[in-house]
Amino acid sequence: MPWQTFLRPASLDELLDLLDQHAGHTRLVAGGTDVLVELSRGILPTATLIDVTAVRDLKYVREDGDALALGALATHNDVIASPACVARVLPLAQACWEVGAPQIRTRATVAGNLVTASPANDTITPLVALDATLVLTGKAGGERIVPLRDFYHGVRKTALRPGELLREVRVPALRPNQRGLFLKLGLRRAQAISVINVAFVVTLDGETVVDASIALGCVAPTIVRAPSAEAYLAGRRLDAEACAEAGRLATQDVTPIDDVRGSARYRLAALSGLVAEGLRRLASGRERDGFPAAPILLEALPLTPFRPQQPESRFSGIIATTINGRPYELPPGAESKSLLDALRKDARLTGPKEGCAEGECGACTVWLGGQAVMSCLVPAAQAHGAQVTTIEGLASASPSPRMEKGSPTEGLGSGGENLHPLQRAFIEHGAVQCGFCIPGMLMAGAKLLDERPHPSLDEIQTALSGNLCRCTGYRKIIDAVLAAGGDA
Amino acid sequence: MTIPVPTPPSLIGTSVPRPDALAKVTGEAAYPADLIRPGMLHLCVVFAGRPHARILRINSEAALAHPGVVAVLTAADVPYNAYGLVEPDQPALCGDLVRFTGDKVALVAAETKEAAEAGAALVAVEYDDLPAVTDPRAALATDAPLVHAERESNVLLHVPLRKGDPDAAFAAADVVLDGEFHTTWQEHAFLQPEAGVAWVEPDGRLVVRTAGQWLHEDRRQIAEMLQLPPEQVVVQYAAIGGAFGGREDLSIQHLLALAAWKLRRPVALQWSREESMIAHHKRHPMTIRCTWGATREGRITAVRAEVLADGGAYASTSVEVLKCATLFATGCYEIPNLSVDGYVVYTNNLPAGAFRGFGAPQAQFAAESMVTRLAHALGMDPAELRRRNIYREGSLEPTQNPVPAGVSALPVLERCLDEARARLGYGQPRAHPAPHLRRGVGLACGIKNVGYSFGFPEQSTATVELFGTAELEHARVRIGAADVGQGAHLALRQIAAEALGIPLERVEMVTDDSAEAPNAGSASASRMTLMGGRAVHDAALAARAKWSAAEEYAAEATIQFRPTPTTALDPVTGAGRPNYCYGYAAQAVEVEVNTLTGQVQVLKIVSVHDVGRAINRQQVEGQIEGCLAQALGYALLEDFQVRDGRVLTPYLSTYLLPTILDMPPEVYPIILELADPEGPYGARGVAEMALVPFAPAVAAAIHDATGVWLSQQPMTPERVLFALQSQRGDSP
Repeated sequence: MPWQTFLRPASLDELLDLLDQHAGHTRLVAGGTDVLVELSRGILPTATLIDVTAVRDLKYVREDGDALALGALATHNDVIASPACVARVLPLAQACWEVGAPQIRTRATVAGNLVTASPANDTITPLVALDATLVLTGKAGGERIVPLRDFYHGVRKTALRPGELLREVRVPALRPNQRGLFLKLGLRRAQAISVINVAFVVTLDGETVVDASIALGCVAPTIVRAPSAEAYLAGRRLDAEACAEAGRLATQDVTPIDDVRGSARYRLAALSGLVAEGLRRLASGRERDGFPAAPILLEALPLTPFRPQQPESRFSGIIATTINGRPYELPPGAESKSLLDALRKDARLTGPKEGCAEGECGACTVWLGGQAVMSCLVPAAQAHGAQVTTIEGLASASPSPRMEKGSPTEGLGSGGENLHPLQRAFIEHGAVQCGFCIPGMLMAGAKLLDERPHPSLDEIQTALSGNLCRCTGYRKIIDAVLAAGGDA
Repeated sequence: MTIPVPTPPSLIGTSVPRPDALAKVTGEAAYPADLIRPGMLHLCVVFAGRPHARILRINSEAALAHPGVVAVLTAADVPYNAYGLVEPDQPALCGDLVRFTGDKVALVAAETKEAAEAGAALVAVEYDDLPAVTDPRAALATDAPLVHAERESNVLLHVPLRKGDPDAAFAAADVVLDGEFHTTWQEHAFLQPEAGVAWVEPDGRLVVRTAGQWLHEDRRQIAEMLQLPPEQVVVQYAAIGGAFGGREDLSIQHLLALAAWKLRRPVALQWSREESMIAHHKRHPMTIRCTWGATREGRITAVRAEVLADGGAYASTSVEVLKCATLFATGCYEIPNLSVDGYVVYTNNLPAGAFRGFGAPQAQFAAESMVTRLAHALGMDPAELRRRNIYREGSLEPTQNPVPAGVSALPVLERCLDEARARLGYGQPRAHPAPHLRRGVGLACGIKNVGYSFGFPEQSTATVELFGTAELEHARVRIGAADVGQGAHLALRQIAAEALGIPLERVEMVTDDSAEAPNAGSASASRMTLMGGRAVHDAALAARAKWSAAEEYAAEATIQFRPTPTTALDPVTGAGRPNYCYGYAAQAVEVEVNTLTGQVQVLKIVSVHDVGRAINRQQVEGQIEGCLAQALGYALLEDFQVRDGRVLTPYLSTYLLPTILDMPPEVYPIILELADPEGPYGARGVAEMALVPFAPAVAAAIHDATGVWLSQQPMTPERVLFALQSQRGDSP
């Protein structure tokens, strides 16, 4: 990895001091899901990376009167797991649910998404529709409040000044006469970057629209509103014709481009249909359809994300961590690696695999402090003072179930006696072919069984949606998890 | 020879769990990248990054001055600088010309990976860019830039097939339809990117430990490149993280060998996903233009077709793929009158080569779509039109010889139809969940050869060693057969145990070392169970006969199995015996089309296969289910985009594979066992067949749901939506 220095302040003051000292010559990292991919490709390079995750005070989602307040470390999972967010800022919760896969949602922060500022970032669209405001803070300039609608100045350009931190996102809650919805068009059903996305907030008086806020993603250099459609809807009932016409009008408010995900012409055509369909769903009160009552998080406990750092194990350049129950002190240089590289090269644990190095394939999935994470997107130093479990430690991470005599896996050789039930089920159900995806698949699957001992088919599919397999077609993997869940 | 009837309890058909699974679920299994050790030199390839250029100068000074860099190898370091599975036209390191962006220009060796990468960035190559030809149709033009200047044209191969009198048949046909179909590149995307290690033993042997699909062919090409006797090169396979044809060509194996041999130090090379995507070969893009004619009685009487394949910059296995695609341009139907011309051309795109299906999926996307369209035009059930024309025993192939015995296309189709009616409501009126969500069902058949074709030398060799006094205590099977994940080692072991009548645990397999095991041929063409299995079976029986007769403590037999020979095709008419065995498949799928966005979701799949005999039922199902996922990606999702020779989708975030949520939970693999005359216990291959009918079945289902035909793969939401819009007459 191309950074040399990794700083890990433990308080907000310390963080702001460091940001001030390195203003303009550093980048912040939290979940790392954008930052590590960018740095590995030389995008906005930096020699110094400042890690926010030890500043525990920034980790919150709380109700604040008529608004929801998200601290800088609030993750997509934190939003999804918050009943207040699902009830009161539904479009944001829906957007968070549509991002990536559980291993991404457990790490990626909403604030980070806003700062990356890609026009395809899913959470920006609902926050624009909901008219969120941002609290920016810095040692030099103090605190200021910027409406999100004024935050973006162009592709990946924001109002954030050098030395400033996006400390909090404030999201006005939907009022009783408001309905909201987020829709995304992706090219597959998980791990998809939006081709387009749309967020709606409509204020109704009976069946008449008083005010409509429609935000559109991936159709302009930044997230934009659809003023023509919004103006048209004001004072109208959401009947079939109005929904269709608003869809047509929305295409007048955008300037999409061609890229690998779709042509501008396709974006326009799909946008019109998606806006109309979204309005129809809002008109019939079906905006909550499909949002899971108990979403899968792949976290041991919601809101216990990055492992709290012990004061005595403050990071000062050498990573001291516990892997599979054993203490490790990683050699100098590990702090400028991803956790995956440090595990494979420094800890000599080659069970976690590199299939993509960009959080797409899941073969590097390990547990970090109780969360299933893609270790290729975790700075190794975030494992300092934390517990890491890799595939090599999975068997001993479970309450050591003995293999029964006469089981088909008996006699396969040493080590077969003491396996996690899911490892055993994978062998028995033929879920292993080339096996390269299996370490990640098992770490995600076993974390699911911790979270949901008897998972449903839907829950299994969600939990494993961040783990690609090119051999099995997933059928026998599902069978194995169902069987292990049945046994649990 | 006669094949004995197994006495129960038989191991054949038993879903024995895989012995290699234990190490794979605990993380102990060592894949090539896991073999990299401290002290090895790390290698980094300098890629061309441009589609066509003359190399003027390579300056390595800055790279060599970088701390940790040990050497920069170039073409001058390669003793024989040409390799290839069929034709050696690809340089290991380019000397004068680069012909595609993934061409390799230099190889940097350094003490660390970081230093190797930094060194590679410092290698200064001066180029003179040349006009590139990246469109296969344009490559046919007489004034097109030549990809290989020593050739007369960019046409790598033209295959004509002639049978009957198509002109007269078209004139007499009641229905004549034209079609044009396009497919694009498909990336294998095996989850384990290329990696490996190599070193020179004190006895002078060069050892390369990596992943591949054919130990002895890798060895042959490496030995030729280094001008060494083959025995001095040892190729060993670690755990292989998928292949699908993508490891059939050399990618890094020869680079590891070159560096270890030149530098006399252990070396390691691990490609990133991006390097893997831009550098190794892909499935051939093809354009198929065709005309099909039929009578109102439901006889398909004539086909005229042109298959144009983009072979990319180097030959790879293009000529074999093209022959298959041409042969299968008429699917699994007996067509009395036909004229088919296949062309594969060199371009400055990525080389195209082997990929599961090997030309059959492209050809039958066109053929099966045309058969369904013909049925509609005739007012006939598409399954019925298929039934009337499908191969039966004695049917003549397009090459004018009888289809090899054991023709099961019809029973496979009929079973598929039964299952489609029962499980998918085939032929029934359908409910649609919403006005913009429309459902439909489609059906298609498929044929794919098992084993090598067109006279390519076909053999598989196995050695069985037996030990025991009063009874057989231990058997050692030596067969250099790659287990790329498909479970070949277990299938071969089950066959050996069954033939010897001993428990599986007493059979030891020696499979992954070219110096320790004889040549089984490649793990490709769905051939290993049939070919390798038959060699193991016959060697086991021969060894057992020796052991019984001699009453010795030990016995050994080596058998080279050769199937009924195939022949090259006549260069004018295409007449010949192309194959010794086929696998037959039929599928039905139900899809849901979102008419607002063009998204297509596959809801249910029925996939029927005659596997001759399932040696391990669980593994056979695994092959079918896994192949279906690749087929679904190919049909709908996997859009490998190249512009002017440059790859636009080099990541797994831009080249999208199906996730667990994209695969329907309702998948029904149906296994028929209609024995093949030559296969061990009647087994024939199955690995590729599920890829053949899938895309045309999906296209038929989309048509059933919406009334529009898609003729370009992948059938992306964009293409589906635009097709719906043109049907509705919307302005673009």
